[in-house]
Amino acid sequence: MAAAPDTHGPPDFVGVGTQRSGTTWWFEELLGHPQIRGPRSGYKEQHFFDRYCRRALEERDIQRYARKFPRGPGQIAGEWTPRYMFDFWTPPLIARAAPGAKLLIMFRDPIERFRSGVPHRLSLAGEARIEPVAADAIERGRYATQLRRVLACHARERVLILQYEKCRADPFAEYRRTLAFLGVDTEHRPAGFDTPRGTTQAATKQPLWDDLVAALLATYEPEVAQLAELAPEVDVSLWRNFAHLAGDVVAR
Amino acid sequence: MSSPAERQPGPPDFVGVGAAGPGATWWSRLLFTHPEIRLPAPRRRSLHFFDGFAMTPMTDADVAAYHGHFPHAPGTLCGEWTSRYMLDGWTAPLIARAAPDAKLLAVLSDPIERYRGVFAQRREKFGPKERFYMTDVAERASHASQLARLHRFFDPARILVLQHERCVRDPAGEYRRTLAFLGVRDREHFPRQLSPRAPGTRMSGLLGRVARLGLPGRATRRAAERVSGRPLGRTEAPLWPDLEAALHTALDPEVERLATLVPELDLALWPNFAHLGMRASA
Repeated sequence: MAAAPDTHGPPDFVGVGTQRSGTTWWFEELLGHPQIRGPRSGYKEQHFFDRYCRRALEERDIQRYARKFPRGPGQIAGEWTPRYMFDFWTPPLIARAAPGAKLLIMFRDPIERFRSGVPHRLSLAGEARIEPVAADAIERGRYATQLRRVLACHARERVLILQYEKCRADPFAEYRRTLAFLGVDTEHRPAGFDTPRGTTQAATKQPLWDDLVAALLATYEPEVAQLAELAPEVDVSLWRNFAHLAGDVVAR
Repeated sequence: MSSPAERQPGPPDFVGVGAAGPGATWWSRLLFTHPEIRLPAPRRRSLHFFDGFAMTPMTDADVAAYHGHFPHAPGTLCGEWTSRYMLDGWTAPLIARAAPDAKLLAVLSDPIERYRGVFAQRREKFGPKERFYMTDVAERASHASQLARLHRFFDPARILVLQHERCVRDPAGEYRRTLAFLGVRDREHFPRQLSPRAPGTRMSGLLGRVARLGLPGRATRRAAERVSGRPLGRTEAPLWPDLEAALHTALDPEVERLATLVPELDLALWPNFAHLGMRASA
């Protein structure tokens, strides 16, 4: 008997953050599940909404977005573009173009994210000046600010917040949690979590100096404290640069 | 007048830290017309000294080099104004180290008007086909977060936050306020550019003459601003409802918080956020 043809429609899930936090690894593990499909193009990151800071999103654009996601019977489809959460105009557009979609976010210690983000951007062609790269890398770690924008137009129960450090420590449990959130078979066992995915900047990461650490803490401590209120499932004690806040957050 | 030999390098008395836009450029230019306020050496308002220290530590030799830009003469104040310092997340502790006693200044303007202006500039620069982002413009407008970061390293009493729209409306009053904050002795000085024109001087005629010089776009604007003594209105691009709503979601909390950090901020002067002022007073 011939297999039923694929159908298309808006994605069932969209990963919206964050860059340099293990999203490629996690997305590829998700694609290992027989009920989960990625975009037709094969690229994890569609960057579909990037352009709508330049013009309005129209109905035909929404239809074009939906055509990117084929799936068979019993399957779900989605993509993961880490900058969606960072671009202030994107969360409401996702709510329009994919109103039923669930959102996934992977957070990582923002200072470690910064340390990985700067060399990552510098390794890409076209960035000659350091200031915009560093400024961008700092801003991307303002998680609470970004999450608040997401929650302004998406129901809290439709947003899954993952933590890179937790996924590394107990990948199977977090994988099952992700599958349960997406509504697919949670008994599926991935081949293994040991295969490196994505790119690593471990070799190029520089130790930080006191002034920079003080500046980053001044930016991120209020953000981390607010994040812990918005998303109590975030275990601040797993972020070595912010573990000192863990007690405060619990006490509050 | 002191001779160069009498001038001693040292930390600046003040540092303008923000915010990017025509308001801060205009105001800093006016400030340096005061006879008691000296430009850094070389004669440049914006040193961008701390820009590079996102990737490399600032050493004591760097601090000494920074001080070398400010040859202090008796009876004068030295300072600089680099509008991205407030935005750049790594700069606050560096200013605190290199200029621990400096007073800081910032001129802020309606963030959504600023966004419209930058959007128009980028659209003109890149055209309809080329890709550009606007993320950084909204992030740059997170003035409350930036100010809160500065407060970790500087006593809030040492930071003067001015509102561009108020400076335009009452330049003499705000200029005097700025001079008083800096501790300048002569507070009656008033920049020539802000003086009322002699009867019969027609601004349109002067600006017309500038336009006929045939300079490139930016140079024409700069010359026209020097002639008129005021920042000219920027070309603004219309935004669409989705984007305006998203901008408000992003910026309303920042502006609300800014109003608590800077109680003299008059939200009625920011048409895009006047509703927040009304809500607060209600």
